[in-house]
Amino acid sequence: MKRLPPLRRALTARFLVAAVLPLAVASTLAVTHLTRATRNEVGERNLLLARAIGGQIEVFLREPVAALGTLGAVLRAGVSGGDAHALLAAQVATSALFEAVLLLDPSGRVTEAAFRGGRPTTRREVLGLDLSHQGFFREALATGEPTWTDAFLSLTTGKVSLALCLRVDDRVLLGHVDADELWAFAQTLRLGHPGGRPVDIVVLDRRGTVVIHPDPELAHAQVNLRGMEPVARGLAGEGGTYRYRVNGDEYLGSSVWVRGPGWVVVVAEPAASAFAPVIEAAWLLGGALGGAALLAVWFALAQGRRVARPFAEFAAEARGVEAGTYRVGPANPRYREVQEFAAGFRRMTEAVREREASLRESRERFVRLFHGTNDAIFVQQLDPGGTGARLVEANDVACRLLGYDRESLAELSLADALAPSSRELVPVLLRDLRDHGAVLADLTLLGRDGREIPVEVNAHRFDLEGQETVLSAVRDTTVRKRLEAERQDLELRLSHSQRMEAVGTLAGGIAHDFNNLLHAIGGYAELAARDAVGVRGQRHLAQIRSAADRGTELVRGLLAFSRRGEPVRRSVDLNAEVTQTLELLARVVPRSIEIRAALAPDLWRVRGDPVLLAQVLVNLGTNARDAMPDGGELLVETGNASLSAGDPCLDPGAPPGPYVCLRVADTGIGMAPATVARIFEPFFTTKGVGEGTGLGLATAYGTVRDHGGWIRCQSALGRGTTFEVYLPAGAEVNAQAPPPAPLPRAEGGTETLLVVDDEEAVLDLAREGLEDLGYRVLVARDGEQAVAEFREHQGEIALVVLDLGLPRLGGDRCLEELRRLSPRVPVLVASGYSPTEQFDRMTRAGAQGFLAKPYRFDALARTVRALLEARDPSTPASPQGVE
Amino acid sequence: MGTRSTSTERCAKVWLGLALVLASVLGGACAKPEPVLLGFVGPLVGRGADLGISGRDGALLAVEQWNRRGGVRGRPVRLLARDDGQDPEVALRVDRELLDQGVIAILGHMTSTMSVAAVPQMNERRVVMMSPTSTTPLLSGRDDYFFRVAATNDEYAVTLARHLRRGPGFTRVAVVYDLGNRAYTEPWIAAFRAELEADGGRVVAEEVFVSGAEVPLADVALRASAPGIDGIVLVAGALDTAMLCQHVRKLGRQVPIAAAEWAATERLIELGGAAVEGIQLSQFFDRESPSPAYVAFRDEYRQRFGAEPGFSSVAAYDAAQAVLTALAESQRGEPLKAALLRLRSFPGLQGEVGFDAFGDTRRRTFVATVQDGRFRVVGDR
Repeated sequence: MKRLPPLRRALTARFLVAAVLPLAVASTLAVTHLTRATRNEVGERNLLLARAIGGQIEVFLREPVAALGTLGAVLRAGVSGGDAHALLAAQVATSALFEAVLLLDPSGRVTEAAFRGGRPTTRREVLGLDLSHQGFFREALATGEPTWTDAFLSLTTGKVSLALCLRVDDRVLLGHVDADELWAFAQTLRLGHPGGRPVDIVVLDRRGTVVIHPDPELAHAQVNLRGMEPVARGLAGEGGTYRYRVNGDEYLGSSVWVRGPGWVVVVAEPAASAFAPVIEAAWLLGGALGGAALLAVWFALAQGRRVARPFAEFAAEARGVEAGTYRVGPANPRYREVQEFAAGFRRMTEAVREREASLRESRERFVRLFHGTNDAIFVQQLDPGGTGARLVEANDVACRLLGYDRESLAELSLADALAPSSRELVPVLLRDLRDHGAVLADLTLLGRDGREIPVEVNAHRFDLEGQETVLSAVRDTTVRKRLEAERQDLELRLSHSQRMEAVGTLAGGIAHDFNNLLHAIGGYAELAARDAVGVRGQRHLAQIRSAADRGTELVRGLLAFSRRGEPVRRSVDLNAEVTQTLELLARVVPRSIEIRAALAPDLWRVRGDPVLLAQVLVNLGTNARDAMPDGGELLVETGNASLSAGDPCLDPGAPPGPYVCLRVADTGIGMAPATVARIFEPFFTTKGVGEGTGLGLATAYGTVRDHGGWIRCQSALGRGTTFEVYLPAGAEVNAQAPPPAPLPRAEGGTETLLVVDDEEAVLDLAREGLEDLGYRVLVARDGEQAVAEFREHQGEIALVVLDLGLPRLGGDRCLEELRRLSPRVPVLVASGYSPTEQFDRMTRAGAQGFLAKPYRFDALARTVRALLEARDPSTPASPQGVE
Repeated sequence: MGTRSTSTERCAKVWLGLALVLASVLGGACAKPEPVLLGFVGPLVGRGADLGISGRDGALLAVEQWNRRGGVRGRPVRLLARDDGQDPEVALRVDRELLDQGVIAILGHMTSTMSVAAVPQMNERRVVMMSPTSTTPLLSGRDDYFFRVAATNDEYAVTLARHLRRGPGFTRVAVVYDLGNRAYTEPWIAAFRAELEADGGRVVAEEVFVSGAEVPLADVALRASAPGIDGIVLVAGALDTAMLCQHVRKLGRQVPIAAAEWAATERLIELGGAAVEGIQLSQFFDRESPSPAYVAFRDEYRQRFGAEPGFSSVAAYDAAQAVLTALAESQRGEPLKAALLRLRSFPGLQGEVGFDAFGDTRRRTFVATVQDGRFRVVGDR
């Protein structure tokens, strides 16, 4: 910025010019005028003086001229030689001015001479001398007028002299002037000078040689002053006043020409003296000028300070505003403009303050947003060629993400920040940014520690102060990707679970119906066997019966898978069950397979059915055996597992908590993921026809589900398979059922029985079989009919065989009604569902016995007989159950 | 605004600058440099004044020329002229006065006797005395503060003696000389006599006088022009020589007269008139010289003083030039004497003037005669 002069200096300069300039001009004009006037006045006065002196000289010289003229006239009249000498001597004696008078003949020789004081020797020396070569002689002869000589070296006086010449006929009279007399005369001139100021009066002859001078030596030494202007001008007849210098000193000289002798009178006065009044006035004016200048400077400084002060205060306050303090306005504005300026300044400052506060707030907000976001934000400037980018700004998240501090990050190139796999994408991304202005990409960053960080980059390009700038929001997708994977896994497992659920439901429904069919088949075969004759017939019936039993087993497996039963819940030491089961397994697996057990010694107990749990292990072990046709190792482990929410081992939907894990691992052929996904589906098998039912793992799955647990399967082809069974660790709840009473032999009776079943085949089989044994059998095909029959035959009916799955008033409600009508009539519940599931509920509802469908007729007959015999007219019969 | 402010300030600065310049000019005028004082001493009054006055005027012309050129090293030169009254005591007094005033050198004296009297004081004060016209051999060959631009008078005497013997054929010669300047006249006479007598001539009469004394020159002239004398040689100033010539001719004697160079001023012709026609004089100064420097000098001299320059004018001019030139060319702290000796030679009005190690110079000498009221060179120049 160009440095401008301070206001005070500028004001001072202007004041100075304004105050001093007119005065200076006026003073200059005044001094010039005064100088001219003084010069004119002094010149005129000195000129007058010179003229007066000239007049005096003329008058003074007139007397010797007259005297010499008289002498000449006498000589002209003719006198003898002796008389001539007497005349000359008389002239010398009477004249104060002449010290010698000579008479020269026409040839210039001295014919007569008279000297002051006589001086006869001198006279003798002089007489006869030839003076014809001296200038005055020829001049005197030529003019005929009295002529004053210039100063000359006189033969007669032996010194420099002045002389007056006069032609007398053809002769010349020469009067030597006494220099002392001339000097005395000069003194009178000085006396006549008025005023007392030191003026020099100089008289010079026609050559400019000094004749009269204040210093007589100059006259004696014939100093020539014709080089001085007034002398030269005077000799040229141009009298006047002139300024000239002598030895560096300036003089004012007025000269006049004296007519008689042709001399010049110069009245000279030192300029310093002549112009003393002017100099005095100039000093006075100069003093006034200086005073005015000082006054102007003082006034200007004072005024400048006064005017400049508010601006200095404004400048200080502006610096204050710059520094963040907002005190405004000079203390006492003296001028309206300053006041208005102050008001404007105040408003401006207030506006600045508000704007700054807003800006600060905005910036803080920005900083909070910038650094507070979960995303890493990078601001980069694109290189002019668009081939690279330079980091300008990054937020804290970005620093943490990559593990750099801000400074190191700023020096990081784009390539350095990217994992090798993503670097090759940079040109493409930059091109996309240029072309489309925005890019969304999944990249992998490279942290300072070499860690690869998967990120999602959302970048867009914009213009920032003329620079192509890219703002990139970078989101760490590590967790998200893991969660996504887990979610996919979860969804897969949920879908699998739902599928299993659907399959179970389907299987359960089919099993129920199928069960009734098997019941009928088996039952009628049994009845038929009673009446059949012949071994062959008996054998065929036995085959039917056997097939029905196998079907029953299958159905039971299906039911178990589909959770159509509730396991018996009691505290189980899984280690003990595993140990027993492994002994069993050891008999069914070939020796090529080594069984190893690693059982946790402090294994928590679980709540469950030990038999079913053992069956799970058998099924898993069998599966492992089948997976290792060439042998291998079967590892069975147990352990405790505290599963928290989010634990990958925790089944979706299962509550977090303590679990017991049973792990069965083989080193077999393993399974493909597609196989693993379907492994628990019923009837899904990879084995050949007749090698497996496809229900083993499905049954295990259902059993574990019934126990509130789940099974995980991890397998890969060629790497073996590991099943992990998780069961909730349970409290010591022993729900062990009481041991059933021993069943009597199957023998008949005469009591009236009510058999309730919606399945016609089952109903018929039971009626026919029981009637064969002697019982009177009433039947009902639904709940309402059963209640109606019971009410109708109340008192006759000794026992009710009740199916639970009844239309129109279900088994439970029916039982309830029967109990209400007659609490003492025993009710034997027969159900296709798992007897263990129903046992507690039916007992609580008032049933005395339980028979799992399909049951063998023998079992029915024996149970019926046992209940009839056990009935007590006063107390309800103790419950009887058959598994 | 800024621009106006700046222009105002510039205006103020211009005024301030003008004021400073004015102040420095005024201050400079007030504190003008000290003038260089140069003394001149010679006969300015009385019988020998023609030599001194024209010498002073020649020196003054040189000084005025230097001052017109800005002085010596920026200092004006001021000539302080004093009359020695042809009296050794007066000479010593005025020299002392000048020395006390601080003159850098004294141009003078114009006559040998005065110079001989003055030199010891100059040596004592270590101030150069540059004589225009002192030709005495008494001051030759000395390492002192005496310098001169004129040849020693024995050269003139020899030149004249040889000429008189071979030209006019002086054989029996009467010599008349001024004892008032015996430092000049006696060596002159001795040299003349030696040369004359070596060449077959003879000084048969020897008349002396003291200039200005009440001794009738007519009697001297009478004795010097006694019968049997075929030549008179006058060794005196112009006035005395003119007077002697007038007396000799007044006696009706037509004997040839010769005179020493001392008398060869314009006053000789003025005062001698017809009586000096034909006399022979030794000279170093050629009034007819075509040298441009001399012609310019002569014209300026005429203009300045309304008179013809004489040999003393030329000699004093050369002497002043020698001193002022050496002063102007001297090195810082170098004494004037050393500067003059270092200068060795400088262009005089009528040829190069050189100094030897003793401050003496050799100049061309020749013989002139007065013919029709003018000096004319005789023989070789």
